[in-house]
Amino acid sequence: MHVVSLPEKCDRVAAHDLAQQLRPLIGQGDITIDGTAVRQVGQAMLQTLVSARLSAGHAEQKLSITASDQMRRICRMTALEQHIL
Amino acid sequence: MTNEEIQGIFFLECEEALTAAEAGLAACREGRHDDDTVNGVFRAVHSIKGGAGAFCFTALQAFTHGFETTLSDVRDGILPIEDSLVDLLLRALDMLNDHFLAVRDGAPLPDDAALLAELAAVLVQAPDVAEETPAAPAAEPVVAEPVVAETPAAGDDLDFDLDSMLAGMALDDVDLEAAAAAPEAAQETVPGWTLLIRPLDAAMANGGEPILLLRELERLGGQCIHCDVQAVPHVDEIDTTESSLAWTFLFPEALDRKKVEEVFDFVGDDFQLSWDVPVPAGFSAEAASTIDVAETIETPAPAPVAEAAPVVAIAPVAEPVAEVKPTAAAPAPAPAPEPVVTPVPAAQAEPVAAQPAPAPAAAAEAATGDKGAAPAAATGASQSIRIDLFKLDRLIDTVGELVIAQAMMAQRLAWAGTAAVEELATLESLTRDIQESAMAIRAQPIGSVFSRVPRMLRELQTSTGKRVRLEMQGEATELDKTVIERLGEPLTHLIRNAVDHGLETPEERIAAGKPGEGVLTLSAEQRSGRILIKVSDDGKGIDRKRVLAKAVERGLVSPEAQMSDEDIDNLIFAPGFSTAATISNISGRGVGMDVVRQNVKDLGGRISIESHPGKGSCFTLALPLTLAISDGMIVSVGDQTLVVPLAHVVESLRPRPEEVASMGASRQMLNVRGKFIPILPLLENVGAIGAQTDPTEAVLVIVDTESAGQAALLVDNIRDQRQFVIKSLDTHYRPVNGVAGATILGDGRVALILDVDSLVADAVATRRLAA
Repeated sequence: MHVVSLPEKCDRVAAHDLAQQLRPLIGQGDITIDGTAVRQVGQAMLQTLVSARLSAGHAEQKLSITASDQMRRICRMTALEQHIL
Repeated sequence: MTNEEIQGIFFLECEEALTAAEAGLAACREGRHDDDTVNGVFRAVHSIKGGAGAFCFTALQAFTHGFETTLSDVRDGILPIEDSLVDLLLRALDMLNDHFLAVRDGAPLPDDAALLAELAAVLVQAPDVAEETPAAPAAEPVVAEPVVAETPAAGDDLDFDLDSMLAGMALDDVDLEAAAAAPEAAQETVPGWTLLIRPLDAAMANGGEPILLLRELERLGGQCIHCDVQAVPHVDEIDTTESSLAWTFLFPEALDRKKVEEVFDFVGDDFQLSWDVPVPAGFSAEAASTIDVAETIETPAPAPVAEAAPVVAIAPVAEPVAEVKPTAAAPAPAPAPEPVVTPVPAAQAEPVAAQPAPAPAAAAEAATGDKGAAPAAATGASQSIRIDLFKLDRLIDTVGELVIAQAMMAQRLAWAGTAAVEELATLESLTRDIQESAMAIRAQPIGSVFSRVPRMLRELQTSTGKRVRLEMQGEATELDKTVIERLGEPLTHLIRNAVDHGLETPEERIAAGKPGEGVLTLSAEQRSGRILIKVSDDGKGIDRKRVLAKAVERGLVSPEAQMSDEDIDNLIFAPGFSTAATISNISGRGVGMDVVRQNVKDLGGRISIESHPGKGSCFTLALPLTLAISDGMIVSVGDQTLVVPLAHVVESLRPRPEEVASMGASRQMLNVRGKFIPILPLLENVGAIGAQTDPTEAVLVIVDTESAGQAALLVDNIRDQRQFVIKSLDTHYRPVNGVAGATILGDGRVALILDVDSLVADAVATRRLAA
């Protein structure tokens, strides 16, 4: 299983890093994205997480995303909870 | 665009917003406080607040927040507009200006605590606050005004944000805490109207963070009911600089769309907004009304406080309320929703009252107006552009060279005997059009200078105890940006002088049979290619006896001198002259009026006084429209070619012998229709060789001056009348008395431009002394 940890500040740079880390992992086994340390989330990270979820689904790959309370709240506020968590 | 450049634009917009707010509050003071005016003031302050937050100008943002809260209640009719309130708002505007100067120029941060307390106190005293029912009947559910904290939370009200700012901001905390503090976010959201927000790539590329705007929408009472993820690409293709999400928000029916539009004030075209989109499939109205947002955001329930201010919240129950009083504004009594009173902690919130919902027809009209306003605003934005002043000045310089080149070509064609070609006339006309268009770009309304005066007067009234009413005319008169910029100082001196020396105290005025309140009038108008700016007061006028005595005491004039009223009045422009008994921080050091005259002269202008004892004084500044290009009369004096600015020229003539009268050995006067004016041979001033000295064989150009009346300049002949580009003699050589500058003629030669005013004034004074 591959585990990718998200930083506290999930800005555009972090989103770019996440996308870079995920690309070789799609189709390569279970992935867990650990967002328990996240305190800040921007749009770039949200759409990267949605993309990760969609990509893993297409690859019929298991993707788990664990979220901090703050991250979970942002997902709810943006109506993205069902798409990410 | 760099952050500094964006910040520079913000500062410019602040200046414009402050000017607009000043004009709006001035209109309110005059009783013109219609919705558009009040909204204009609110939006101006709101705009500053948004930008202040984006640039982390915390103190500026905090003050605008308090200011805006009061303005919001004024806008919503909760606070009645009375003189005392307008005074308070004007003082708040002055404070806001100080805050702005602090962030822009590094001026000391003003102490705003007392004023913020006053603004807050006004809110507490608002007559409608205690009422739990809306003042007007309404058929639609009503929405509570946002409850605002005393100080905005960090990052609150960010209309846009820079990516770099994300580092200093706990986004999640901001969202949640701000939402928690806002009661409307903790209220149920009922089905109303929708808005689809699609951030475009530019919203990401410019460093914007759309999530902050979503949070603001939520704070206004919106609920994100859907996120469109269909455009999100596979992770292999995702580009974090591109935007691929879109959100649908649902807002309460009664929420003013303008409030939502204001959230997007600073993001320009970076967002695609679609109003009233269909509710996405799978979302039900029941679901919306049953979502407990408070639980969603995990806000601790506020503990009831006995003294807590009541907040009227949304209630879907549409039952008539007995206490509702119909107003004339409502077209027909309609059932009003029963308000639900939700106590909030006093420490977190200031009291607010519900905003009366519009009746259906009014609401529809308002909605239509809003929709109509948006395209208009968009059109307005697309019709203006900010230009770097350097680029503009380069254009003006090039146009100046074009004027010279055109003149030189005309000269050459004339030498070749082909000056009468039609194309040359067309080129000349086009050149003039281009020049006028270029100068028009630099032209600004003088209102930007006048707009600073109300504050100055408020301060002067406070320090002198005098009461002054300001009247302004011709604020839309336009003149060159450079003239505008350099006009501030002389105008300030004149106004301070008028209040300090011209106007009497209320007691003195009443004793003199005048109203206790003095009137200061500022006016501007364009006349004969010049701008006339007048500063007049209805005070006591110049005390000529005292002025003359002071001038004699200081040795400025001889005790035996016979001086006209005009001459005595002009003594106040003498360096170091002051009649003030004591030196105040307003005036009295005797440097002001001297500086005024010099500044006006530096601008190529003239200043004159008209004063009547007991009735007041009027100072008239005659300024050129522009400092770069002007019209002039090309004249020959012996071997010299000179330019007489056309603004001074009254007429030109060749006198008959009987129209010339000699006075003494060297003085001659011209009889112009019964009026005698001095003849000034220019050869003495320019050292010309072979110049004509007999007026009957020469040409007399009669010129008008502000300070020395009319005179007849004796020249050999008039060669041409055309535009000339002014080249500063100060810059390239040194100031020369009687010469305003130089220009390049069509034949390539340099010609001096006469400073007619000083030339005539000096000549008249010299002759007077000689006599």
